[in-house]
Amino acid sequence: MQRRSDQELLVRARTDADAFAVFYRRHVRDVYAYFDRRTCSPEVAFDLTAETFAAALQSVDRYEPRPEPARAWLFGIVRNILSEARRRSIVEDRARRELEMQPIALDDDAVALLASEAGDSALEALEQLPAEQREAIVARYVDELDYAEIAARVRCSESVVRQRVSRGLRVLRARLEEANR
Amino acid sequence: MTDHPFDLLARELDAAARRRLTVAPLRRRRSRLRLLLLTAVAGLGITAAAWAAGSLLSAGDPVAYRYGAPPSPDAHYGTTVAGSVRTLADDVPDPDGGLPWGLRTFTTSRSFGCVQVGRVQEGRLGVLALTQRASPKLTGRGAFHELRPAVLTQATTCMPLDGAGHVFIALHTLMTSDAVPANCFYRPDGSAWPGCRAKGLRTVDVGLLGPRARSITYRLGARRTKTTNTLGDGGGYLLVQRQIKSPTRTMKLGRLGTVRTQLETPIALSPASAVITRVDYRDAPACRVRATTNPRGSCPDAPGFTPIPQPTAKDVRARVLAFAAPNRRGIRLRFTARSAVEDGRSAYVVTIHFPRRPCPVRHLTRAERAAFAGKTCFGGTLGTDLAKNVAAGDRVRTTIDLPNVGLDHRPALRPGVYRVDVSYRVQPPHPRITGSLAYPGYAVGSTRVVVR
Repeated sequence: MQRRSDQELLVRARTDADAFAVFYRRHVRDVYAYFDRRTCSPEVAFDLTAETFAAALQSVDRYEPRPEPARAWLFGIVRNILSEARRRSIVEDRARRELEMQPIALDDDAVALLASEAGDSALEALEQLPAEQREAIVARYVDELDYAEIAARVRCSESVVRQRVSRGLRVLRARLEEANR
Repeated sequence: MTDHPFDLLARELDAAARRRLTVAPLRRRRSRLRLLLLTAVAGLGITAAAWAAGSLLSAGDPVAYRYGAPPSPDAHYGTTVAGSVRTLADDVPDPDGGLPWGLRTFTTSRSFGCVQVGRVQEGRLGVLALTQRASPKLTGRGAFHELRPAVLTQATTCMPLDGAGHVFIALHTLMTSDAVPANCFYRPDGSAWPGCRAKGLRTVDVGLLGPRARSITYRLGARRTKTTNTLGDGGGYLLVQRQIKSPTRTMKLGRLGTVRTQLETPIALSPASAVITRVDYRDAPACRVRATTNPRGSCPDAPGFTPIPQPTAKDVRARVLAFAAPNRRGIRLRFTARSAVEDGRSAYVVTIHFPRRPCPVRHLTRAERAAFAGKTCFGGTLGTDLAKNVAAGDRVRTTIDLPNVGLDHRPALRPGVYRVDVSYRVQPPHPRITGSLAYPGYAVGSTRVVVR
């Protein structure tokens, strides 16, 4: 099961609960990190993560493999959940209620465990990049926008955006290699 | 020792996944029981359809507003505009007989155009079963539940109006013969999912093609086509047929072999299914329709379509003032709305960028802590739509409450510098099928709030 691709896991998850469990293990940390960076609160980020995977489980029957990676499908749900939470200033629990999932109460130790998930050297290195390179990389790889969309967003040409992403990645790689020595 | 929250969540999800999988065998048993009953009825020489055609169904509860309360005229989709409700069809036959199908359209106070499909009894539009939010079961079968001209109810779909106030929408969907959207999906090999009985399903094509659409041509069976005039001023159509298999494409998928995916989108701005083959317009070339997953459909710039006008950057620029709310639980904001928000096709959006925060180091080793010493991490952002109408020139005064107040009851504003950006977001020229506004919008202004 562990060797299956994300697409295979999601297709199997329609009839096999274990497949969804593997998919969850594979992505839960990335999803949590995404929310943690944007909400600044481990409790809120965990709440959003739980709702995201519940919504993904609910939608798994409708998932259809496409040329793009299944991770893009998951992060589509992530962005919807986050924008809905921002719009309404509350974290929805609709999917969890419909799946009859029990709320998970977090004590101080659990919050500390979650907070420790956020210490990531790659993120630190990203934070130290010049603002324009950081924004371009975040837009490309976290928000998954294409170059044309990023160019429109920051009001410059596509080639400038490509240059910023490429330079930023080069610096990131160098810093991470240096940190790992 | 505390369990890691990710493990707790994994256990809850696993239990939920196993509960879901137990639903299918139950459905299969019910299907067999229903088949036996229908066979018995047929043995008496009376089909269910013939019975329904000659008998009035008892009136059940009307379909409820989806969110439990009547909608508000100034929020979300708004409320139905008086005088805008049109019944475009009330006599479209069902392939198996029984009550005819009907189509109703209306616009809302927030400039959305909506279509409602259902079955018609005594001139009223309705459904023959009710859907449940929390379970796949249908309730209230055997009764007629009126579908009122209100938004966001079962079997209602809405789309933002175009720049001239017309609705362009094309739906291609599976419904049960009860006029309930069928939650019926396909296995990777293209076969129907358990519980999805092909006999009781209808392929429903419905839409509004704009004021210049004159007729549509559609497939009727494998080889025949038929041309029919559009309904009403907005180019309406409603086609109800027994389930038609959607065109698919085959993809290779590792060990699972090949899988099929559908080549149609269920909702688009113009026809996108393989059922409709052509749309003819007054004084304009016809549009040939092909199955596509493009959300604009096969005729994206149809005759009669007017793009939604876009403001320029200088139309919205204004000075933004912001300061911490006295209770320190939010940020108060003031600015002059240079451009109006008249409906759901635009909105002012506030984004608050939190101050950088100390990096969390509690569970790191001493060496790792040393590496983080003196550094700060990204503090997060919060975006909020001011989801209400605003006249041009009005002074907007609002308080944005910060969300973490609800989880820990400490004052939400930490000391630091908060950046506040206000933007004006609009629907793109071609309205989005989700109704969401284009990102990032036009910058109104920015300011900083220093909290000590």
